[in-house]
Amino acid sequence: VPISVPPLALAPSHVTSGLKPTEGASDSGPAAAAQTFGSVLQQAMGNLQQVQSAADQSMVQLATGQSVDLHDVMIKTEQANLTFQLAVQVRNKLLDAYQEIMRMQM
Amino acid sequence: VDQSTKVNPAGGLFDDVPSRALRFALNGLSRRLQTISNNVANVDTPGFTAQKVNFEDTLQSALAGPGFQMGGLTLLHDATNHLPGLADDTGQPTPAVVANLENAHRNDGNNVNIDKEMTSLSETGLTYSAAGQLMTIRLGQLRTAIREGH
Repeated sequence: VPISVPPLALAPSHVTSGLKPTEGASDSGPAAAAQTFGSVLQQAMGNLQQVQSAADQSMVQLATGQSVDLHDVMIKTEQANLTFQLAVQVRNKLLDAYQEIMRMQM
Repeated sequence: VDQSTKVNPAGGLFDDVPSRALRFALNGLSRRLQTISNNVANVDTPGFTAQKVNFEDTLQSALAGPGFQMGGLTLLHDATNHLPGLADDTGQPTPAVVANLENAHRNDGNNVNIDKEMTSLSETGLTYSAAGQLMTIRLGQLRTAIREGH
């Protein structure tokens, strides 16, 4: 059974590009599906890291008085915050799913 | 690994570089607001020399220097007439207040430029509240992690 997880991205391009390999993996066996699932997760975590460090950088720029646009810093920070919250929720769902499977009677 | 997201292994939950930079900036901005108030209050005091706070350069060189990696925020001052920041009771260095000699002194020996002070007041107030908001969001993110999203 292929499990598809939405990538933790706010940009629509990431959503489509992140979901495609998982959808196509349904007919190429569970091993391939597992690999794509892992890579989707990895990609999502990489994106989270990227968004976070972009927000951190603009925050430090504001703190050091470099001429940055205030709205830019706020938007980047809120995007990082929301992306992180989404990541936590996806993690919670994943753990729930895992526990559900572990409780199954075989 | 990106330098800005590096967490000091010897430090605690709140010792990542952006958080420390924000805290230092908030201290500096707060001190600047106090200094502006003092300057405005003394606009008619004969012989009064305006004061200013410059923490940005200090913070920038501290970020570039080894201090941020070693754990302690070291204060580096490049000009001889800059007073080194005095550490407060938490051991954190505080931004230095220096005499503002950019403006010419008036006949009564006072060099407060009220227009400049008011402009600086707006700018500092705005940046202060923005930095405070960023700090709140940052701490909220930590809260999200601790509570696992609940």
